Formats: sequence, C-alpha cells, structure tokens
Amino acid sequence: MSALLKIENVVKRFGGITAVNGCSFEVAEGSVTALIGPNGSGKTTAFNIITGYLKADSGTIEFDGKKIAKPTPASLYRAGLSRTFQQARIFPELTVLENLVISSSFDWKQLLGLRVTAADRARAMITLEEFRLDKLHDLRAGDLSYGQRKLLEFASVLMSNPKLVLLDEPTAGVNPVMIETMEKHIRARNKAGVTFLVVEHDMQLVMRLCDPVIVLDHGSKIAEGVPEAVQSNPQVLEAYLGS
Amino acid sequence: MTSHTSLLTLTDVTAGYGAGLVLKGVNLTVEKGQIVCVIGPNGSGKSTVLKTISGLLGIKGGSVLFNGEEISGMTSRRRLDLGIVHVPQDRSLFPGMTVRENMMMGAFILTDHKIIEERMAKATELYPIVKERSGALAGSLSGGEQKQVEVARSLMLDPSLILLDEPSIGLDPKSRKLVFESIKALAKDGRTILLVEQNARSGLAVSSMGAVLEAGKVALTGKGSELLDDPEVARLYLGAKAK
Repeated sequence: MSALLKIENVVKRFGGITAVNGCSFEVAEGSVTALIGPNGSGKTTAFNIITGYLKADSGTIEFDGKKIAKPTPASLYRAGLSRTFQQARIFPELTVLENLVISSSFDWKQLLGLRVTAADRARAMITLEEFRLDKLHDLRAGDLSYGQRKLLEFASVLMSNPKLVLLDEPTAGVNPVMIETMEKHIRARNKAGVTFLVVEHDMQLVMRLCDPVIVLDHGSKIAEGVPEAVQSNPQVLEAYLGS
Repeated sequence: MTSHTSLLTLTDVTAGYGAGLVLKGVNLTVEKGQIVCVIGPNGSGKSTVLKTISGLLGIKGGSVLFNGEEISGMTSRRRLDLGIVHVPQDRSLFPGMTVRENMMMGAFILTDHKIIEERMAKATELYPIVKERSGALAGSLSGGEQKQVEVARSLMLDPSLILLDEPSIGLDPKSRKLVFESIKALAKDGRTILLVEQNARSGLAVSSMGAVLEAGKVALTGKGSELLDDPEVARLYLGAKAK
C-alpha cells in the first residue's frame, strides 16, 4: 500500500517547549492507523500541523502524493482531508440537522440559503438515528451535551466524502454503547476506501480497530507496528500504558 | 428510632435549560464517604445533575438537601463555603495563567497563606504535574494534563463533597489509573465523591454505588460491582465489547 499521508522531520516549538520533535511517520492508503502516546506527547499538535491549523517550524507534509506548501484547513478539506477535534467543533447556532447537511455540501449557495434537500435530509436522519440524535434534529446544536456534540461532529464527518479522516479522541465523553456504533461506522467507511488516522486513549478500541499503531513520546515516534507488538513493547509500556 | 441524615439527598429534582426539562424528577442519595458514579447515555442529564448540586443551574422543582439543609436556593459561592466543589466537563483552567496561579485561583476564598501552601502540597502529592509544570501556562498543557490540574485545583478548598464530571476524559491509560486511584484516596481521606463517567467500567469499579440515569430520571441504582455484573446494564450502558 502506498502512503496517503507522509510526515517528515516535522518540528514545532512553542516558546521553550518542543511539542513535535523531528517527527516522521506515514499513513498507508486504506489503513486505520492509530496515533497513541502519553498526554502532552504531541499528538494533537501533529494533527494541527497536518490539517493546517498550525504551521510547522520545519519539516514536510505530503498528502495524496503532493507536497503541501501552504496548507489551510479549507484547501485540505477540499482536497479530501477532514478531521474532528477533542473539544467538538460544531455550528452552535445551526440545528443538529443543518450541521450534518452543511458537512455534506460544498455548494455555498445551499449553505447560505440553508436549503436542505429531501435527499440530504433523509440521509442525515438515518445517521442521526443511529447516534440517538434524531429526535433532537431541530434543536440548536449549541444546546447539546458534551457527548452529544462529539457524536454530532463524528456524524458530520461521515457525511462528507473525504479520502483521509483524522479523529482526535473520538470516544472521549462518549457512552460505551455509542463507541461501538462509531466503530461500526469507521469499519464501514474504511471498507469503502476511506483512510483513518485516529488519536485515541481507549486501548481496547485501538487494539480491535487499528493497524498499524504509531506511538509518540516527547514529540517523536518511539514505536510502530501491529497492535500486539506495540502493546508488549517495553518502551511503550513504560511511557504510556503503565505496568 | 435514630434519624439518619445523608450527606446529599435529591428528591424529585426537575431542571432544564430554557423551556424543556432535562431532569424529570431525579431521586438520588449519597452517604458520607461514598464514591457514587453516575452513568448513562449521552444527553441523559448526568452533567445537569451535578450543576443543580453546585448551583450552576437552578432547579424548577424538588429539593436538594446537603447535610439535611436545603441548598437549592443558595448561590454557588455559598455552596462552596459549605464544602461542595464542582469540576466541570469543559476545560475550566485560565489558559493565560500558570498552573500555580490556577491553583491559587482555586483557593480564592482563602486568606491564610499557610493553609494555602499546605493544601497545595497535599494536592501535589496526588497530582505531581502541579509541581512539574508549576510555571507553565495552563493553555500550553495538553488536554489530559489540564484535566489533572483541574481536579487538583478542586482540592484547594478542602471540600467535603467533590463533584467530578468525567475526570478521566482525554487521559492516557497511565494518567487514568492515577486519577481513579486518587479518587479512592480522596474517599479514604473522608471526602465524598459524586462522579459522572463514560469510562463506566472504571468508574463503577472504584465506586461504592452506581446510578444509571436515563432520559432525566434515575432508572437504576445499585452497588458498583452489581451494576458491573448485570448483563442488561452491560448491554444498554457499558457496551458489550468494552471489558
């Protein structure tokens, strides 16, 4: 499998702290790759650089065979790279249903007019039902609970047609039963050809779902491999899993 | 007959945001020294229960007794004086202040510096990160690191009742163990803890009692271990795969 995403020698400093320290890794096309590591190891910073929210001090990023010189979240999204956030980012003033429809469309006329077509609506409602949000479809999204916002953001990503999806702690604050629904959707989309890069602390989910698993510590990669190998790697046990 | 006063008693509590009701008659009793874990689907009202106890949200009906005293009419500030602290789910540190300054903000109602330093030392014992990152801006800490400082900060008022809204959210496995161990240590120290957790299995495992909230009502209560072993609870709330 070829690399859909290639990160090479990326460095990012904040003041005196080097958050990402010469980090290199690849995400193979068609994989569900996990990016794990202790709190503060640079996972989210790496995500922010890959998705254009932060500018790296040095290093290169290649997506879909092309070097991205000046990445911006919008241009990357159009190129097929979408993401979720630890603190779910939704449109609080739009309804739950509108949030979903907006994610499925690049048509600005439709966005501005908020014309929800019957087809979009039907597709969105099926997704909402699975995440137990269907009865809330007319509610202002800002009125959802923390966990419901995470579910809505995840559902929104499913509505777009990305090549690569970056999920930043998708299950944090989400009920275990809904985690299984998320897992089902990731598997289905992956089967349909979508590649995933997942930051996640739920190790059972990572071990079930992801291959390979990449481990960051202090801003650089310390291990990579199949879940079983990573799980028993002494360096990973020490830095991340604890004994 | 001797009368027994529970530390906290919620009776028929109704509450909500705007016109709708999120809590539709919640009954819950917490005894002194207990760890009680509230679990339930996203949007069932778990965070709202905590808010009605700390006073961040007023109730529309019912009563909230703390040590036998009705507190539902009191301001949050007054409830702090009584020993009730609340660590909310959303990030609540002041990002532009250092970790130490944030800890000091947690003690804003205290004037005796000796007491402040004593409590700081005690909180540091449970959460070493407070000392390790003392001079760092809170906003520069990772999500999981911030969560630990938030829980540590709640100890500055030497609370008798600690309300923890998903203390393990965003924490790596090592830190998560540390947080659940520290919750047990807090209870041994004579404090009472009411926590909301989506890491339901870990939450119930450290708890003396569990309560399942479903659609704004307590659907079920029981010993933490009993709920863990109940196949119906597992199917509906804990997930079949998470073991």
